Amino acid sequence: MTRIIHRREFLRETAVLGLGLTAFPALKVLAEFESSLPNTHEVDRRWYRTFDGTHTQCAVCPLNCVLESGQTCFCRTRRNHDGKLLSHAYENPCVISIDPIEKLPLHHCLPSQNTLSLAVGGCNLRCLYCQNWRQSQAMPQTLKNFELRASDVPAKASSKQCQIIAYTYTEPVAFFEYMTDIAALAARNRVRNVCASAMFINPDPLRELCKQIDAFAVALKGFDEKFYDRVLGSRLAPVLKAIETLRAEKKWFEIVTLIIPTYNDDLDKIREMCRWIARTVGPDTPIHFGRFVPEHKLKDLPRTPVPTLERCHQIACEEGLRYVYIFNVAPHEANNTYCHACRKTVIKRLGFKVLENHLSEGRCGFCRTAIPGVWV
Amino acid sequence: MARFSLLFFAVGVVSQIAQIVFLREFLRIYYGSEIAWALILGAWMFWICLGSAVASLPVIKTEKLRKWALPLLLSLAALIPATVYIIRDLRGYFDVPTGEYLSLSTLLFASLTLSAPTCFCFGALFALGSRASASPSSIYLCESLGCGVGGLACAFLFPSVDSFRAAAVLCILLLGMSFLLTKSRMMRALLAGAVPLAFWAGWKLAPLSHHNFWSNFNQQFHLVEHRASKYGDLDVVRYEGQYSLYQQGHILFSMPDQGELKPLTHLILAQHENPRTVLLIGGGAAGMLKEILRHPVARVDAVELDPAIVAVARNYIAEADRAALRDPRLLLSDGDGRRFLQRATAKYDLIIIQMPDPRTALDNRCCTLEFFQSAFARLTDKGVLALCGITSHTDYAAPEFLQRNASIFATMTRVFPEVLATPGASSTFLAARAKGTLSLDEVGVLRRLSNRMGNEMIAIFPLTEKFQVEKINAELRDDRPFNPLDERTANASVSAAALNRDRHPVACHFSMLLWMHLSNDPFAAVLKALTSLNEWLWRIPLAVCTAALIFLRLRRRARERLLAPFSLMLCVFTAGLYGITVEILAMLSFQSAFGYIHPWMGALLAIFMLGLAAGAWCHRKIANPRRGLLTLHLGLILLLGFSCVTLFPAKGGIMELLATLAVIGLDGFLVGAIYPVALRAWPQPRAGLGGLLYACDLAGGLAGALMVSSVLLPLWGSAATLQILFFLCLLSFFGCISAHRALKKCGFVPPPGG
Repeated sequence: MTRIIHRREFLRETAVLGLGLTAFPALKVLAEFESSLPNTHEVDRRWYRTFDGTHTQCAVCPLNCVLESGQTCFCRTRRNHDGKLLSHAYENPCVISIDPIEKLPLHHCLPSQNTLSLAVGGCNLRCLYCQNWRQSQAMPQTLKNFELRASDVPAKASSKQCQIIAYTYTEPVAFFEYMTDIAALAARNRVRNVCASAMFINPDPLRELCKQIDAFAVALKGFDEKFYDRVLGSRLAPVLKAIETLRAEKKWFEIVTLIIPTYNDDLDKIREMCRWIARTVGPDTPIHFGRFVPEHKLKDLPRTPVPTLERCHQIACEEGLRYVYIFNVAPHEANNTYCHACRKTVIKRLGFKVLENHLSEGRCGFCRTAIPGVWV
Repeated sequence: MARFSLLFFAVGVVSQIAQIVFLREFLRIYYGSEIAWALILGAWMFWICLGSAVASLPVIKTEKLRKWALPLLLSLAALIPATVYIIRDLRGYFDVPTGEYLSLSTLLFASLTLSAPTCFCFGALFALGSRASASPSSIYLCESLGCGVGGLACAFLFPSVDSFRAAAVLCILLLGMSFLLTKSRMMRALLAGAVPLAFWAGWKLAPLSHHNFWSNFNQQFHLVEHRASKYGDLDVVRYEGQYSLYQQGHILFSMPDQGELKPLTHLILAQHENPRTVLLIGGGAAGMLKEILRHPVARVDAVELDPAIVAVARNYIAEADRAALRDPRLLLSDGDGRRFLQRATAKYDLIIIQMPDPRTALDNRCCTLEFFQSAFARLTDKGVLALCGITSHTDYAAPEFLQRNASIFATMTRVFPEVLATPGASSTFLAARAKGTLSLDEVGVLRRLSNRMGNEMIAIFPLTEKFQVEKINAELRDDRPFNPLDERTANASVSAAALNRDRHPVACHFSMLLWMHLSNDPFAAVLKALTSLNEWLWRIPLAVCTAALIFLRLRRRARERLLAPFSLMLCVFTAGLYGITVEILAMLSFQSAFGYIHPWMGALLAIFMLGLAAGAWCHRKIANPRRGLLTLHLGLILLLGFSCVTLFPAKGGIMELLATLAVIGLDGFLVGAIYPVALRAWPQPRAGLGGLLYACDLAGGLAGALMVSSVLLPLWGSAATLQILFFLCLLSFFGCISAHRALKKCGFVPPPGG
């Protein structure tokens, strides 16, 4: 019997079948890739420089990304297009929401007011526990976005009874251009601006931002360079410098630290951080210690034990900080604002809901001591 | 010959147990889902397939089994425990931060690398055995029998033995087999000495390897208790006075402070004006019970799948939670919650489901249309169902979250007249039997609670925040992001989200997609593209291709003889694919009708393997293999029809049980018969043929496991999966006709014997 295997025919027929099975998914992938064309806006020339004709260096954040043509910044929002730095995070917010201002958290700024919250995809950090990872760890143009022109935002906020615009949920530094344009228009229309940021930003753009933003919630995520490097993919020193800049610019800000079990809950470090805050920016700076809830890549880590948060609270008080809060735990006594002079409850809260407010004209309703903050 | 058979029977036992042990250990370091299972089993089959194919190459010239078998058995004896030890240390090697999961790509890399040496040895052993044996079919038969017995042993003899100790037992078994195989006295003495050493090492190193796992997880965690359970190892770790309970390396909950469930529990209880009877499925030890019992309820039925969870947690929860477990109104039952609901006769005012996300078919069982229908039937007129803990979004409505949750929401809406979701990163879907029952109005809820419990402060505001409630419900209803600034959004459209059913667990697919995004997996884009495909886009080309191939074959009868060997290989490949696909479908069907499959897995696997062995036994001496192949293909096609009718029954009665078992057994029988028949039908029998066909069989199994678990079943459902199998069977059937005619023309006569 002769060996009569006709491989070619077999392979051809198998290929026909294989193509039938795979062609459609492959075409779909290609089609999706093609459809994700970005909408762009040129970054202000003050915040980048061009050299060698086509290279650019971004100057918004301390990463100072040097880009060849076609490359994108670490934050995934700015791209070098033949020597021109274009932002993909302009007028395409992926989040439009209405939230109480306490959610940021800002406890010393216009209590009980609602904010129109905006966020655009992208971030210049890589936090392993990011609550908003789905939009912050993505290119803006790959998300499902809304169309919202910067010039329309203040009027639309007012129409929803929001006299504050909040830049939050992702890192506003990544959509700096959109934020500053809206904030400038809002300020002209007597709408307030608040910003929740990790403050990984260069001093010059921050000073520019301070001209328009009324209050900041600054996420000082730890007090250890190693932690910043390993868990956030970032650096601590520029953040501390940015906090000092805010202080120098006399801007109202509150510090927020999420306590993550085994990562940044070393009490000595917490004490060091509180001492630095008290000495460098003053004891009137509110600090919020947050309870970690398993998120993003740290899903297998337990929640922060409440006693750990209480010890952090105690340490902050011992170091002289006057307004120390605990969030993500409710009810808790440290949800409230106490007058530092008479120790009475000035604002009683349940989580981020205000139950009682005994402030009048920025002063304690019981002893008339001035409580620092943005109250009117 | 008897020694040969015994040896391969034992190899089958060892390989089956080793497979289960590896699977169990890999799932400790990975967020388990069907795709993870498929990848691990796929890597297993890939290397066995490769080992078998390589050992079947003509260049390997040996017909003496002993020369190869001894080193292979000894290698396996060392490799299996070493691999288990290394898997437990894997987090350390990859430097994975505390609490972080491994990505799917890392899992694929790890499972491919770590299972390679062991599986290659198993594959080579089989192929060499087939070459040395006069009858490769009997080797196949004995190995299949051994696998069946191994599955049974895993299920019933040591379901909760530590994996490292199980590996040590396998090591001892392999040493014993080597002892029987060798003739050298020196070697026998060495082997006899090695047995107690392996025993000692197994028992002493098991705790060490366990501690290694936790020290790699986090050096600051102190392991205070470890308990083996048939549903997965339980570990309690202490950190800063807080105890956390982990199951198979994944966190369940922390103790003693379990306050986070308090507002949610009261919000749910407030949905009924006077809740008297409550059914709680899962989460009994996680803090909900205490809060439920603060309401004026007359009876609470709590069902927990794994009784060990309550037994372990009892030592660490707060005294108030312990007291709740002793409350006379509580009836705590062990077992499957869905099965409990199906068999219950009582009616409930509230049914609360506290289960993990539907990322696996197990977890998905409480989110399907069939489950909601049975829950609806067990609710009183104003009864409410609460499905808790669905991972959701607080701000950006990512398609992966939205599609999955909108699918569950739409499925609930199909059954219940009123459905509402609470906002937050972890959402609860509330469904009422009567319209106008549900309310997320904060004032109304607090008023109802204060009437029952006084003026206690309960932070329900995050769950009732007006804008967020409106946002999430609009998004789930419309299956698209909600824009508060766009007035047009208020005009809700009807959601086109797919229904999540037992036979079409689409929520599993979306969970998988979500997880792939989370771990930045490059395959996510492909899977996402598949998601948006219309299923007819693959049905039509597949049908056209199959028809074209059949037409070509009928036209070219003269050349049919050319394809005989390839057709036989395709036939064995199809059998492998068919076998695993129908087995997976039958197991899922069993699980949806008769409760969680875990305790029955070994028995069901054994039925399949025994069917496989019976098929191989009955056909080992078949006189006319060509005709036999055609008959078997007809049998496969008929079984598909039978499966369409019998699988995923509406109720779990004895007839349905027998029908499901019959599908599994017949599947095994037909698939097991094809291997020896194809072997006998081969035109030019040669050394290594048994190994080659075995490799084809495993390659089919590998393709089936990957396709079915990751794409076909979750994305397009069981009906589409059975249709694809039908097309493949047709293709293979026509291949067999080619082989049949070609061999007939050549005057081929099968060799005698089995």
